[in-house]
Amino acid sequence: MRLNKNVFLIAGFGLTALVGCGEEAEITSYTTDKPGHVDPQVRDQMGMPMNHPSVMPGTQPSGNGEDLVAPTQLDGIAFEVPEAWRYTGVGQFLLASFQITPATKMTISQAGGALTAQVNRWRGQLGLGSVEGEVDPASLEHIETAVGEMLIVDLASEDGTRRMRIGMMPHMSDGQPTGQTWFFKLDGDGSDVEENVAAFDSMLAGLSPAQ
Amino acid sequence: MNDIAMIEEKTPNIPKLILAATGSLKIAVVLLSLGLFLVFVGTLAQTRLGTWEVIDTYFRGVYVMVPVRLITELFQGKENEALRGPYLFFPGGFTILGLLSLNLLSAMCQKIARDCKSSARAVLLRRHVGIYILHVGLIVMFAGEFVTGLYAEEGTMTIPVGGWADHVEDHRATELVFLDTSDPEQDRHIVIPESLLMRHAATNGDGEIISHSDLPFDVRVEDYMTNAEFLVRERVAAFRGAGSRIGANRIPRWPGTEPRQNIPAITVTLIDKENGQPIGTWLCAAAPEQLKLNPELSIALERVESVLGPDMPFHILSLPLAGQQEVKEGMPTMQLRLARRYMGYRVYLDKVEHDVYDGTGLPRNFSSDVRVADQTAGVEHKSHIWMNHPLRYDNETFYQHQMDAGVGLTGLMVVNNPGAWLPYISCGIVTLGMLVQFSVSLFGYGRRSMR
Repeated sequence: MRLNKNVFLIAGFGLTALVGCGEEAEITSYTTDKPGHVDPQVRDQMGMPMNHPSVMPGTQPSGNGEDLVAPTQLDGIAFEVPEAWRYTGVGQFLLASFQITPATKMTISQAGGALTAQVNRWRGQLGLGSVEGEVDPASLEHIETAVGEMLIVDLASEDGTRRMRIGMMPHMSDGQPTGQTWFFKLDGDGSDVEENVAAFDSMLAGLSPAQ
Repeated sequence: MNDIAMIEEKTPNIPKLILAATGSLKIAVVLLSLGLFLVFVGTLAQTRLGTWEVIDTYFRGVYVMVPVRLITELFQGKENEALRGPYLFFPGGFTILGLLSLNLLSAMCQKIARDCKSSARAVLLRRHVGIYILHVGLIVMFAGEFVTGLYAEEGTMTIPVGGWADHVEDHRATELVFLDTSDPEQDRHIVIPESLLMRHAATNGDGEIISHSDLPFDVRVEDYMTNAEFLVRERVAAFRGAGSRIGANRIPRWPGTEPRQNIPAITVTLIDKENGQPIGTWLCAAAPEQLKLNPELSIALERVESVLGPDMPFHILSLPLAGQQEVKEGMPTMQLRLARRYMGYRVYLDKVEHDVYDGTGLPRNFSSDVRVADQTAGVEHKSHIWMNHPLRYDNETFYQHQMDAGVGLTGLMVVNNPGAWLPYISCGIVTLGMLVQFSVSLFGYGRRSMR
């Protein structure tokens, strides 16, 4: 009997010691260097895209764009934007963003979703009602590019103060559609957009496969 | 028999009794059997739980409640619903290993004590020295598992070509951080660890809040989900940010057999420290890039962005203070992110290589050329990391883990394990013990043959 008691005593002591190993984490406060930007020269030498969102995971765009280098190609597509459009970086859901005027910008992104849902979403942003039925792609404006046919949706708010012109194209990988769509979106003040439509369409028409 | 001898016989020798009880071979057999069963149920549990969850609860726990259905479903077929009781109370891996170590130590002490008491002490000690060494080797091996389980840290470091990183991310834990980027030189992080978030989430019915002098707000954790699925919902006025259009439902963590990533999520209410009034409730997710793969969520997120601004991604929710509706550069932000460990030095990535066998897409080699720049130590160290050839620096080991050569990214697995060398030391000791024991037996046999 005495033997068994000892066994239980020792086992109990061992368990208590093991349970005591845990410790409660506490709130901490510390400072770190700001996330660094990548060296464009090194990436250029390696022939790698400069501004893919996952290049700097967890970081935010700088916002002022002064120390950022505008990309000329993204995910297999090369493009050329007018020099006056100021590159402002990437976002969690934006591959690139260019500020044209304080109230107008051009963004490049990839996302999924059906055409009608997309159009209704943009209409909602402009305060317009949803379209009835499905949007017929044939009814939309087209721009031929070296990487495929671009569908154009042009929408304006009822008072004309805000306008969006969006170019859409299926995203491809190894010649196969991935289910995602490229979006090139000119969005902002109605008159600013009007002034930049020609440059925007010219940029879209000049899309080409990345080297 | 005189009185003293009788008293000695009646008085129990406590250390001897303890050694006899704990060093019993029967106990060793029972513990090894328990260990075998634990490995069995732990393996089964990986069809229901994540690999690391199983390691932490089954193999590195003090005790574990094993669902009996885990075993019965082997015969009755697997059901999709979550496992519920009855449960089998079972000692965890650490308990079994701890008791096994004690058993081994006691057995060794008993043997040494017995040999020492013998009249042929010198002969017996010499004859058994190899066995003593073997026991020490095994105890060192067990100690290695304890040290690894309790103190090892690992995480991934993602670096873009031409860029650098100074921290690793632990994919098994999250943290809620308030990030102040207003200083042009440095960012300030105020971090609430996951364990604290989970503890407060469990008691949120009591209205308990997290309050700390460094926090810009008091925080009430409404809910914490170790894995969540997201859905678009009608606008919920109570929520600010993405949570106003996107809801999160708690789901079980993906099991180890599923190659899917858990997406932890949290809903928190921030409370003004001065007047005690709630500022708003936010929903944050720790892996928003995964959400983009869902077209509906992607659209909803963009809709939220269109309302709140383009630089308002899902997990980096800037905090408009009371009365301020616009988000401005440098405003403190709140994120639920993977738990970070900062290294105190930078690792630069100069080059990545992804080679495949000619004519196939089969990978042949992944490698990264990195530079460690440690300003504190005045060290700039170059290294070529590739499969099974890690970089070792400052008690950390950097293994080649992932790569996206197209985008120009490398993922390094960074491990800090103070017990990393113990298995090697243990193997060395065991080998030495076996050699010694073999030599003693061989020479003993030789001597006897000579006679």
